[in-house]
Amino acid sequence: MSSVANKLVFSGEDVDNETSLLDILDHVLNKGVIIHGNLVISLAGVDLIYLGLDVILTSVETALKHMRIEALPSATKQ
Amino acid sequence: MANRVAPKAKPSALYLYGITQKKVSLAPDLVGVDGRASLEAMECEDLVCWISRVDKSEFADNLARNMENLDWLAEASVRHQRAVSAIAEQAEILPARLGTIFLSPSSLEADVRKKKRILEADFSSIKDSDEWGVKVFAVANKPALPAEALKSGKDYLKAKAAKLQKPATKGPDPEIERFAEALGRIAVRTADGGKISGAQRGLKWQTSLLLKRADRRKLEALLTKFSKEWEDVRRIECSGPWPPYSFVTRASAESGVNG
Repeated sequence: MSSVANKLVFSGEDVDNETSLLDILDHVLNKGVIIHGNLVISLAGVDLIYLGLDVILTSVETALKHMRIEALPSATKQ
Repeated sequence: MANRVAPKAKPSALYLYGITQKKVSLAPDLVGVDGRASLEAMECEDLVCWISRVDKSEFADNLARNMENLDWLAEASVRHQRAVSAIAEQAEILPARLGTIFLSPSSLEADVRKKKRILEADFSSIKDSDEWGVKVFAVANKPALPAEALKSGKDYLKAKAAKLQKPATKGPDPEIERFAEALGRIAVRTADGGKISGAQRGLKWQTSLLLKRADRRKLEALLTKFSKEWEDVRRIECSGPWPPYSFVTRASAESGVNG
């Protein structure tokens, strides 16, 4: 979608080119249906694995800050 | 002559992308989160679970470690989103979070059976709607320091320090509150924006909207109106349409750790 005004930017219909990695991570990491929350790992009789993503999310946030997030692929096109 | 022994197949796990109410046809070249396996539709409880078969070692046993490897995480995230979007183009989907993995079809079926009522309520709430992300950034104005007024290096440094000083903490920006209220009036629901992009430079506010597809023009008109009013002060960025990641129930987040 093209810009509709000077200071308004639309993005996101083409994941490859216009949606930033940050936006994707925001959506796929800390959102979405959790069928079975924060189950640590497969133990006898419980064979769903769902790791504690909140913990991982925190470490990703920290890592991204350290990597100067503005250097990641551009969020949008002007 | 020695007998050839067939290489033992690596143990696999089921990676879940999301759940739909009907089966759809996907492009044959669409691959899953590992970049290799195709997506499969698994029917359970009158719903369709979209999965691909992944290497158990990479996606189950070592998932936590891999998710802290940003290169691995970036590839997996983009592939996950690409797969979910491909399904969402054809059917309403309850998108799964990255890294939702089952070791067997029976465990997936059992969980869907257990959560079926919640999943059905979620399908009703997202009907005919998409998610949109809206962010407001401060526009950086950088007027040059008035060189003629600066008689010494000390004057320059004082002026520079004053410019860099953060403004005193104020309450919520009433203009952004007005914008948020206007968005809330056209959206079915709103949700907080994501935590990861929250650290973007200049970001003042962000939200996620669940919007009826029929109301997309209203969103465009509203964003255009505010962006014209805010010219040179704030910049609006809008991303979407997204599958409704922010508007599905965290079905069993409260169920705690089992095992």
